[in-house]
Amino acid sequence: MIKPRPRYFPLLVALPLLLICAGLLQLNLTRIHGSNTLSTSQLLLHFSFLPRLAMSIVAGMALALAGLLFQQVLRNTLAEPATLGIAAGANLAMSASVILCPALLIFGLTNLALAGAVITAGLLYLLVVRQGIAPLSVILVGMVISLYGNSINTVLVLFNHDYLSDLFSWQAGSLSQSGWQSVQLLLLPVALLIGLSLLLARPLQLIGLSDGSASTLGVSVVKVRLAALAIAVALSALVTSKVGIIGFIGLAAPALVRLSGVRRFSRQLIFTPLLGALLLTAVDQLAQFISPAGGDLPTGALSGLLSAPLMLALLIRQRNPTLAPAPLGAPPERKFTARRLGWLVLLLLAGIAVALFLNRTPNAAGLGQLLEFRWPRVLGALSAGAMLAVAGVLIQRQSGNPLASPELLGISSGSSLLVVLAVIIFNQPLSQLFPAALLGSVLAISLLFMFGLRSHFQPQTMVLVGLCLTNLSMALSTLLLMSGDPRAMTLLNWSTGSTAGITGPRAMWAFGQALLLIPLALLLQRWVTLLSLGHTTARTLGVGLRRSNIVILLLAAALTAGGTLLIGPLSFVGLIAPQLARYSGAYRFRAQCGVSALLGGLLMVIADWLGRNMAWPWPISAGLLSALIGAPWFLYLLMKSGRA
Amino acid sequence: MKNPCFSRRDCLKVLLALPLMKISSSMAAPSNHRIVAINWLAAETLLSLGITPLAVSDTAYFRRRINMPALPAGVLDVGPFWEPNIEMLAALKPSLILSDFVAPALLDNLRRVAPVQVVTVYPAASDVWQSLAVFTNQLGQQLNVPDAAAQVVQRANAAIERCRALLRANRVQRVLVMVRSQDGKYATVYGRNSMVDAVLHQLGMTNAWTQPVSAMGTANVGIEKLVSLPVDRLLFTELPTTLTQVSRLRQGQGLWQQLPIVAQGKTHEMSHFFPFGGLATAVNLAQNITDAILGAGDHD
Repeated sequence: MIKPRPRYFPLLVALPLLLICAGLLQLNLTRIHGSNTLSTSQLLLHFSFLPRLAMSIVAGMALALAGLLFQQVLRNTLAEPATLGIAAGANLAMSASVILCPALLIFGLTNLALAGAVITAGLLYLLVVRQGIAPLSVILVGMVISLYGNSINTVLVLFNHDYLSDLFSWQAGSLSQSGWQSVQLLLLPVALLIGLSLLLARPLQLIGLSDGSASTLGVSVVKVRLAALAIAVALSALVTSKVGIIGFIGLAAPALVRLSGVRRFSRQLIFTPLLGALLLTAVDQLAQFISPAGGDLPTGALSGLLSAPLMLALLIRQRNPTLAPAPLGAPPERKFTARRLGWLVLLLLAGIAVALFLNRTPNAAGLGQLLEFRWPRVLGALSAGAMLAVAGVLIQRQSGNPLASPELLGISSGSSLLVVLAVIIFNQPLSQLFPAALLGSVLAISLLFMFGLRSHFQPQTMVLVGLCLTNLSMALSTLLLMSGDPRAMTLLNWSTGSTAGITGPRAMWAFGQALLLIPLALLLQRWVTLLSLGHTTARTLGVGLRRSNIVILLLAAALTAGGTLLIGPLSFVGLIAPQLARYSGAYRFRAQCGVSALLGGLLMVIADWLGRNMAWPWPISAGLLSALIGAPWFLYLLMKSGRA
Repeated sequence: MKNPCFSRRDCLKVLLALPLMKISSSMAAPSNHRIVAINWLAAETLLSLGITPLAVSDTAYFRRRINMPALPAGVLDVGPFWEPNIEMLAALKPSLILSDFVAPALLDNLRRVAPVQVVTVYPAASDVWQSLAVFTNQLGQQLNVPDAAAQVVQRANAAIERCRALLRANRVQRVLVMVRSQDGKYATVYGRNSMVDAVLHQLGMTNAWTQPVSAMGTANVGIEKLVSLPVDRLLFTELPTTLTQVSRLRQGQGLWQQLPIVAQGKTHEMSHFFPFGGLATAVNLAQNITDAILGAGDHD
């Protein structure tokens, strides 16, 4: 039991925040007064500064309350509009209707956002209901939905690049105001929803204990839950429709309130919105203060940067002893025979042949010359798919977690983060960035290992750490895109997994890497097999835990770095291929590695082929295509594992 | 002593003329019918020179952003400028590719298809007007149409001269040209070494935006930054997209209407322009600016 904190503890949290906030406010105000004449500074105050301040207060309250309600209903301290994918859903609904179906706009953006949020919440519910709404899987599904929504958004932006700057400044969460209209529109509904949530204070507090005790006390659990969720979803949609996606607040405000020792829910209900308002004001004033002269730093991106470390800190504190690691599942009845292997190899060869020879081309094309450009892409996709697939097998085996993959654990994101930084800082071409990619993935893996040790390698915690890393790299790339750097378009294109930049030497180098590293993985069979029996068993059988784990993870890091550099961080091939391999009967480690490599290669070759031909002469990135298939596949797997 | 037949100067003249003769006769200059312009500035300049490019990147959007000179219907689309379709390019067998600064790997691929020339007018290191004229002349020389190029430059200068003459009576000094964002809260402004800046100088006015800008010569700033900016005339435009309608749904225009310059009625809407275009776009912009200022003069 945590010892009770002294009564003045809430003050200790709130007071410094209040001081920071007041200080920044004062600084920004002096700036306005300093650089303007009296009448214009009045103008700025009334039409820009004060509305923005009011907006940050209202939006902060709404976001914090939404976070608190989600957390209370789902009994999960990590729930908030951004992590549940609700904000992404609302956002996607808006931008998709703007670009694809402007006729829908007669319903008003707020209603569209609301519809998107409700659909996302429904989807989320359908996907997790079979597992009894287990806390971590809710977040897991939510964050995958969020990633998925954001990658669809990226496609929309890539194909409509005239909207680029506007869509990005919108999505990045900007509180900038030029009048009172938005605040006025937001004020009444938010006040109403806050009032409604106060009415639910008592039943919600009882639900927080347990469903059983709540229903014995005469609370209709389902109704209260639904009502609270509806309020939270509505709040998230309202805020998203006005200012875009802003994470962190819904997470931080309830956490800080709890941390400061406010235990009763009814009191949390009062303090959390207040703290949320304070937090968002502080973040927003900070964003205004450090905005460069030639631009505007979006508040949402800044809060995204702040939220990743906070989530990691909360994850460290969180103890979930009730969650057993997801079982790997019994060996399937089918056997992977030599005949099947033959078929698979044949299929791969056929796939390569199709990718090389069966394409949409202009009439006067000389095949020889076209092949000259085609083979590096096909070979690169093949090697990348194979490497990521084997990395997936290694990680899934090592962590005993069928949900693990280089993409979901954030290893790919780690390496792409460093690649992006290296391109920006050192101005290196992508072909020379393997060291940076490797360093990134090794860093990500060490971080994972550190968290893994604390949480006893609990699968879902690991995936959450990975998703935090992914979010961090996304926030950074948003900032980069907003900066108007001419390299941004190239990097955006790479990060969606385009194979166009793979030249002959790069493809050969990647193929060599695959040929070297994949057999190395096969050599690790004894360690991996023994480790998957459990750490205690492995140790009694004479496996050095630390050394073997480190070697396995390092190899996985190298494989991931190689693959990510070719097809970007979001391909999901490292998740799908191992699963498919097991499903088709390759259950033993070596067989799984080999079959996964073949399958991963096949998948990426097909994705590359589709991407080159679907919208010809326009390209669709192979990595993005495989992610668009991979994410639903992952959600399906998760749903199925819950049913079992 | 003087050589009766050839002076040294004559010899040099012949020597100088030699490469030109060779190009025109035997060595086959790049065929002007097989040029691919991935860079839009190059595409526009080619059209001005009377040369129809074989293919251009993102033709649909090109037609929306640059309508003068018009892109003929037969010009092929080679995909987006950041990833042109290399297979299609290879099949087209162009004689010259005028490219943007794309990723080095892509550039290598392009080089294997045809000679590649990277167009580097933007981001501009010096005066854009000058660079555009130089670029046009160079392209004319290279493609064997130096007269056409000289004519384009001369016509552009004449057009600017006309606009300047028209504006002379109108003592407008500091002009701000901006693109309003679709939600009306931001403005894209153009600073030093942008096309807008160059055109304003050519017209004998000054650019009101003197604050820092990005490498491409633009800055995306909040509307509130315009409150205390010393401006005589504000010319704004919007991107031709559907989002413009959305903006009205999303955000009122409270601050915009309160801006001193707006309240005094010194703002004019003008038709949109492509900020990284060539001489033709620059001349169009100059005429738009002139029309906007003069048209407004009638109302004052």
